[in-house]
Amino acid sequence: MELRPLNVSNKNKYKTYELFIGPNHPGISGNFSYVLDMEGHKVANVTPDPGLLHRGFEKLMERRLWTQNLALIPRICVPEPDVNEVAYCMGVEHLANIEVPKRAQYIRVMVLELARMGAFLFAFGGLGGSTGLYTMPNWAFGDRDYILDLFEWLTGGRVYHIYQYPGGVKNDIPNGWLDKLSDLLDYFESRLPEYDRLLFKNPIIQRRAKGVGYLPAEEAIENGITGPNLRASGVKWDIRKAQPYLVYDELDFDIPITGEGDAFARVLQRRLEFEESIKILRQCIKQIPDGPHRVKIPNPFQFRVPAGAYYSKVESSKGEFGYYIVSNGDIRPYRIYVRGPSYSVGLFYAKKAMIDMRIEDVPVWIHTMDICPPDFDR
Amino acid sequence: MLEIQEKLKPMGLKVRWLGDWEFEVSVPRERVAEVLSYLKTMGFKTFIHLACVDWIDDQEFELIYNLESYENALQAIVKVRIPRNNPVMESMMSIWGLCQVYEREIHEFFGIEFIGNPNLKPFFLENWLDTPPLRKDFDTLAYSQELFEFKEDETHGIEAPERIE
Repeated sequence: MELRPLNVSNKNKYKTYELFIGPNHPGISGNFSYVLDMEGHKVANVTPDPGLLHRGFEKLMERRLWTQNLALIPRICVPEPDVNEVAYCMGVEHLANIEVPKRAQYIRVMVLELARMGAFLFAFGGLGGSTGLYTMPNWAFGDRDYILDLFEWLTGGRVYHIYQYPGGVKNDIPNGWLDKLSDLLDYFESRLPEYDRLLFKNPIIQRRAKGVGYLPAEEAIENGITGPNLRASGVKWDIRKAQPYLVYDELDFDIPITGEGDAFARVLQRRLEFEESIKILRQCIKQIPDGPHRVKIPNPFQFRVPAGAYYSKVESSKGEFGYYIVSNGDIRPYRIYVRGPSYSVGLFYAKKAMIDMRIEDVPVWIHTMDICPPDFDR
Repeated sequence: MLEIQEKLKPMGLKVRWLGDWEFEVSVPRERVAEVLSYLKTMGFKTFIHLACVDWIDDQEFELIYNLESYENALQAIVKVRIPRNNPVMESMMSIWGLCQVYEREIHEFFGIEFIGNPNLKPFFLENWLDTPPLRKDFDTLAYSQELFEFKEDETHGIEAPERIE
């Protein structure tokens, strides 16, 4: 009997069958589905099938006041809702020429970095869950809850905060919050070596994730892949450094680059950036100035944003999160377009990347690319 | 910043700065492919998004191609207006394959036809037969009143609790 090498295509050996990876499948990262045409254990063709989560936010926003939308937009990205609020507020402030006080900008940076850390923990848990290492999701989601506790204290909400407002933030930092944040950062620093031992130095995880879903730099640029996934392919691009917004130009941090471009590099990239976020937060605690946390804007019913269009963007944990805001000078926005970082990778690049991938690698690819369905199915 | 302005001058394009890193150019419909491929050779290699705005008072659709250059740290927004009664546009798939999904979405939500795009099947919506929903003349209230039943009484079937003195 002739032995068949493993990496040869199984074409003509097995019948093609359709496999539906949908919301009820543990390997997917949300309410979204891929229809895979399988040949044996290999993927022959992929059809992304969004729509299960479509809520028509862009249409809804046209019917609401500028400030009413703030209750709606956090829902566009569930694991990291604050990027939406900040990007939207930054766009509105740019169009309406509102100068945000320094203290509010520092608070925004802290909220963004905390949200980024929470989203990275989600990603670590996702990789653990998709490879059968169930300790990792338990640890990561448990630790994320400490971040949510701080958010609850600061904003009143655990997941959706609705904390930003054109002109600043809604409330000032409560007494003792910064000390608690400092304690939490100490805790995370003590946890990271344990994470390393469990996940990043784990030989099984390394064998499962290394070499999976290799993404060369040119292909990442061509396909609109941004954020940690792009940096894991070796492109040094971070909006926080290249086009600094808020007070990122006053803070000292590095952009780590892994560069291997495979699934393991992508998750390691997030692990390295996690440390940078801790560094940024420590500086914010030290440097945050006194002063007002918000400038007054007119009565929301009279708040008219001057006519114009602007694209405001924020570096999220998944890549570039942008809001294209069009105003015609009314009390409501004329049109808002949301650019989610998962759009290009989840709906388009997946069709190329998953071809010839083995079925057990598909969830690893999905979770290391950190595909977040709500941000394209908005 | 000025460098880019100089480079775009021979193309006859007027650059309007929106922010520190962001500029927009308006181009006529027939020059979009030319301008986009020129910008791509100038370093704007990443396609960020394709958005659409329905300017119903002008009877026009506006398409917004958003590009990013990592080398120059700049964002280019290319705008094109097409008539609303003949919403046809050339597909930009030959420049960025990624345009396929964005054009499919715009086709679904605004009803714009993209010539050269092989797959414009419904994407996010299911069995949608009405006006494309993100057009300004689509009336959401009338649609929901037609689709869903409403109870006659104003309490929506919920009895008000008794007042405790």
